[in-house]
Amino acid sequence: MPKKIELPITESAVRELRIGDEVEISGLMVTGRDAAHKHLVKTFDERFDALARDRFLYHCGPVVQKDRSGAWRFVAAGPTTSIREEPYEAEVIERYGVRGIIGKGGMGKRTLDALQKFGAVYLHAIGGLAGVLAPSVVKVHGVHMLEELGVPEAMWSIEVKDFPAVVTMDAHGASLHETIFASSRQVALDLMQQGAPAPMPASKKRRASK
Amino acid sequence: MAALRPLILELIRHTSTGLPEDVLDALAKARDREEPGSRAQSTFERMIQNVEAARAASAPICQDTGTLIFYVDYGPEWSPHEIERDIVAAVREATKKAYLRPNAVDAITGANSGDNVGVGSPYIHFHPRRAKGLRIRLMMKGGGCENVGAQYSLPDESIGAGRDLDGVRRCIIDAVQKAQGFGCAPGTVGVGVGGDRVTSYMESKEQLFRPLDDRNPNEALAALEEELTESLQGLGIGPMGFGGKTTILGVKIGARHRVPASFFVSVSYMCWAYRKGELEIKGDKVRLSGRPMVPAAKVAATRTAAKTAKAKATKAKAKKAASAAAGRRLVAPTIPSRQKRGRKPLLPIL
Repeated sequence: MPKKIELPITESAVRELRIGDEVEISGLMVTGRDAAHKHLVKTFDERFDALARDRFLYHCGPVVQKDRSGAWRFVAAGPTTSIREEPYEAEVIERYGVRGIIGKGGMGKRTLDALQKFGAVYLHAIGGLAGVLAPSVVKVHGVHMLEELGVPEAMWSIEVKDFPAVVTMDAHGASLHETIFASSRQVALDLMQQGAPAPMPASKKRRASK
Repeated sequence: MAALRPLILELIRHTSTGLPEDVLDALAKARDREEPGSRAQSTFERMIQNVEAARAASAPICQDTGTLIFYVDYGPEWSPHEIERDIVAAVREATKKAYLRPNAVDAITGANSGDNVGVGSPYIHFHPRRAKGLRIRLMMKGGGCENVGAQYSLPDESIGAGRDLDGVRRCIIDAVQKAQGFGCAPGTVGVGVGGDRVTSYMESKEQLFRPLDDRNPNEALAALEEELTESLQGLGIGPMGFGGKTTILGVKIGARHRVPASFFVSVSYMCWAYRKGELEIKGDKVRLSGRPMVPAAKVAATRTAAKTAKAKATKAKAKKAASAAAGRRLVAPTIPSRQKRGRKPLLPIL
């Protein structure tokens, strides 16, 4: 059963989460990706601070649509690859008190250290789940720096309900990504040793290069 | 004059908002292979649910609607200039309708063009052919999986890869292991062997247009594809890299002649949300991804332009009316439900 998470969340609640935990998130959070991260470490953004402190930051560049009343709606809202924010994330977590990063692919050592030090987790959303994830974004509360950054890069303040994710890096220094990388590397090296399935006969070699 | 633009718009919508049958089947098989109640199985379950939800809502299955790669094979009666114009117009319209995310940014400044049109975007390959008719294939490849692609120049001592089939195999294993879940696993791996740096990668992408269940005509490559499709599962990377029994959906390998001095192996990784579509026009028959599509306006080829100015004027008028009608009344091919066709339903019936 997935654990329910309500935002905002306290440090002690975040420290209870462990890698492998399936969760469903509800409450207010904010999106941000490459351009936003670059901006967030350059200056202290008070508006972002209000949207992100004790909440989650979601690596997402949505497809949005404005309905007739002028309200924004998320049409597609899956995660983007997180490792691109590795140079910035540790500082963003420290500076803005973010309790969780949602994205895909996991992040590196610096972020893992920051999660442990400041009490936060990394949650993996399922990539390509735009159609399932978009309806779990129940309301778009606003958008920050839309003019400057454009739709995918802007910081969207969103309210989610039962947004599914898996904890893959926790506040105790554990990373599911590291574990799986190491085990799969060993299998890969063994596989390489086994060699190609059937030797290619000379007659077929000629055909192969045609 | 063909009302081509609305047909291309439908090709884009269809490709962005669903997955081909072969991919859906592979995902369903993968789900059934995982341990009941495992994280991997629930992940596959959500993926399949997502495809159905996206199709129902006519919304993109992934917010990264990707690089738009068009392959156009055109007969002598078609003008590539007009096809290009219609593709570009359809891409703009598809962006407006939110079938596509504005996804073309200036390489240096990062400024978004807002309509997916920019320098080299959309990317269109034109291939003239002798036979009449037109085929437009579209692949939408997200940035996450494009980033985990890799090119090897053999020999590559770091992985013990020499200039032979065993070396090719080592490259593929290495690339898939390093890709982990970053490219939204389980992916399909397209491999180009030989060529130069450009054509080697090109071959790897073209391989991705092959159906998942076909067989490579080259016996040696077919054997390698089959072996790797099985043995790479043992890496245990699983859906999204969470761990599991399925790491890839398939391996497709093509080879091109190379200069004796070079031996490239290029690996393109396609995410599980494997979006490809095909529009085929022959006379007034239109097929979308293999299924007949009925345009309201009769689709005729561009053929030779009108002979007289008068004819031109009437034609322009007719074209306008036809494309307006077509825009309204175009229907996607109906896909009979999986149960009707006697296949296992993708979702458990509750």
